[in-house]
Amino acid sequence: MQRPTTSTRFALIAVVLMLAVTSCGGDRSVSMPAADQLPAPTFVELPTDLADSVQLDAIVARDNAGLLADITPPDPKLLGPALAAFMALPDAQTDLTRLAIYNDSVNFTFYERGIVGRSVTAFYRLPWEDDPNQDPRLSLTDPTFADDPTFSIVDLDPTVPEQLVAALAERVPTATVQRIAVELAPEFGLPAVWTLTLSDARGQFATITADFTGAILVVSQS
Amino acid sequence: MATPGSAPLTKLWKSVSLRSGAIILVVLLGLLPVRAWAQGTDHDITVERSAEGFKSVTWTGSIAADGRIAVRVHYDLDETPRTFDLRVPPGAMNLAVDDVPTAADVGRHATVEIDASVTITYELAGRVRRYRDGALVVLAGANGDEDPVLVADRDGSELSLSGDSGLFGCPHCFLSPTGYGDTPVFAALYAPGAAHGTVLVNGLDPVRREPPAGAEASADAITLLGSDVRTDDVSLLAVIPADAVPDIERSEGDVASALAAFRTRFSDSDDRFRVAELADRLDRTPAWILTALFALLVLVLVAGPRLVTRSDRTARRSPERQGSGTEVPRLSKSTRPSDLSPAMAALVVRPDHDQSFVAATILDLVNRHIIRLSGKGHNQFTLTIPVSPNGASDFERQVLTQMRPLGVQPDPPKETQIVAPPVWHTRTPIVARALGRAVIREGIRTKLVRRNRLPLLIVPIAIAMGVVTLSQTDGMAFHAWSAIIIGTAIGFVSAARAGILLTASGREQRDIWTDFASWLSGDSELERAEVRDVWKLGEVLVYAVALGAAPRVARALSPGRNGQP
Repeated sequence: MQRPTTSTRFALIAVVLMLAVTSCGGDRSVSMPAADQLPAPTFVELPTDLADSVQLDAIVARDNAGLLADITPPDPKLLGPALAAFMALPDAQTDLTRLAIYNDSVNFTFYERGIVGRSVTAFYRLPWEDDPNQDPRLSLTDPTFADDPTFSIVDLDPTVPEQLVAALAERVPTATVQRIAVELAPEFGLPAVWTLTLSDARGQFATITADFTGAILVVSQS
Repeated sequence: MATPGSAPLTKLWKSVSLRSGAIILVVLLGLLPVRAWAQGTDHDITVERSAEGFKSVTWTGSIAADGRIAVRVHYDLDETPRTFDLRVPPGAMNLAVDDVPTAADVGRHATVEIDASVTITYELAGRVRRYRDGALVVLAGANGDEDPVLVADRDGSELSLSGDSGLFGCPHCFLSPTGYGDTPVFAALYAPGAAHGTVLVNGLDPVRREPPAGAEASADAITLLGSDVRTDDVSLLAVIPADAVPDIERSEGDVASALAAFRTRFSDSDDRFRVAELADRLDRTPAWILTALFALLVLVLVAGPRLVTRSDRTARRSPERQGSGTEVPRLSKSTRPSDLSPAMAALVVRPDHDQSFVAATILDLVNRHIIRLSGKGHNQFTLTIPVSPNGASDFERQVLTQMRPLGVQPDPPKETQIVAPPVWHTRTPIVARALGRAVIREGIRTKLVRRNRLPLLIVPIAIAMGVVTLSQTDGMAFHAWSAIIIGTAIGFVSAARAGILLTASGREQRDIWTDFASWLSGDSELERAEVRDVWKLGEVLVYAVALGAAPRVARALSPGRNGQP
């Protein structure tokens, strides 16, 4: 067998060195994890009782030395009759720009005859205390200009606010719901959401966002 | 004059401009297989610069029928306990950290404690738009806040050190003072028929789409892995079957238009969405194809002329040659060996020399009394071209036409007288080019030569390499288009300048005329001969001029000793 020439030897040495340098690098090869390490994420399901909403675990109650918030909470039970009265209006609109529930009233803000810009508010108000025999009634404001976006109340379940308030009372007994309203939240990709503001003896401390089915989506707490 | 036999390609290499073109071509096309080999190696991603303390990100998502997406982002870190500020992506719902529901503050921030790893889960809505031909999903980090439907998940992967806004938005670099390395990123998207969809990625390089495997990663899953080497976030788009989201109302338009809008949005930045190719397409096949095509190109450029030369030599040596091809009588060396015209003899024997074929043709016309030669002094002479030169061939008529004023037949036709020297005055370059082309046409007509088409192979090779690169590789589009355009141009230029090759008949003639030329070249009388000696030497002087044995006559009648056609 012929002995390799000097140039052949150099070439072989070069190849070996090249391979050695290549293999001794600090590289590490990564590959796809096993299938069981890539589980499909699951969606949070709507519980039968909203008090079982897992997202309520995110609320951290504060120590208020046994004191409760000194506020008059809104009355979510007003929404059912208020909604019925509002829909009985001769020119009832199903698209609103605002819906808010207070302790003694419910406000519906919408466009008069659907004309964008002519914003009116219908107040559903309980009888005054000094006139308990007065029937609850709706009053309308004069139109003012506004061009806020609208949401539909066709699928609005009037019992949801009451369920939410009950759930919060069970899970966060030291807190009181201060405000209930429907707000547009395009960042959620939803037409509108319920927002409930919680207060305790120290003041407002959390906001709960829920969709029209009552599913609690977001808890914001400062 | 053009170069027959192996000469054209030899000449190509001698030509500086064409050699430069060949070098450019070799470099340009050679890089395509090199890059394809680099890209089409193993399916696994190789991490070269690991980020300090940061091991990987795993992103998984599920798409519901109504278009909601459940997202799970898992960060695998080292075991150093850290406190992080979690920036919640806009629209995130049901936020949880390590499966614990988590509140975010008004600015959508949350504080998380991390030790070794952390898993963030949330849901998103409004990230899917359904079209008639599919559904487009914005999965992560696509900067579309202004678009309420294609709005980006301003990636839930965004973690940063609290209070260190300089690193805000960079999900990985928070751990490494020297950079965040090429962090491995794994992703899986689950939806009915997702495996038949497409994922578009920005920020991962390299990236591979993996075929579904295992029970979880079924045909309803699309999985990919990549390495984040250049950007501070990773953007993902997916196209899935429209049936995967039946509860969403169908939008106007189609997926292609939506994707085009997305690409336009990114056109002004360095970010580019590109399709994550299936790993089984990223094997070595394109690299092999490109290498084979490149080898063919090298064969054309380098081995081609050698093969021509070898076949030429073989033809010269072959004993069968004597009994095949055109039968040419082998007479004595002193006898004109065949009926070739002086121009054709010059073409086959001395192709890369000057314009002596023109001088030989003029002298032949004088010898045949088609034009008249009269002497005035020692070296001066007059050529008279009649109104209608009878007996001249087509090629000879072209020579005579070029000899007339401005190279055109006078109108009305009249006799032309040329007092020489010089014969050609200032039109030498034009005449050289025109008659050079004419003699090649005559050679092709008489089947002594043929055009050299070999360099034209460069064109389909360059186009094929470009097409293979565009269709089979990733991220080399500009290079591929450059190869196609420049390669095609160089191929055509090379073909145009590569000249001609001798046919078998031409080689036969060259051999026997070379013997005759050798015999003529030893004659000192021919070497010293002047134009007027044609009256004395006749046809011998004519062929001596054609074959380079009478340089003084050739100089006197040629349109340029070094002119090239």
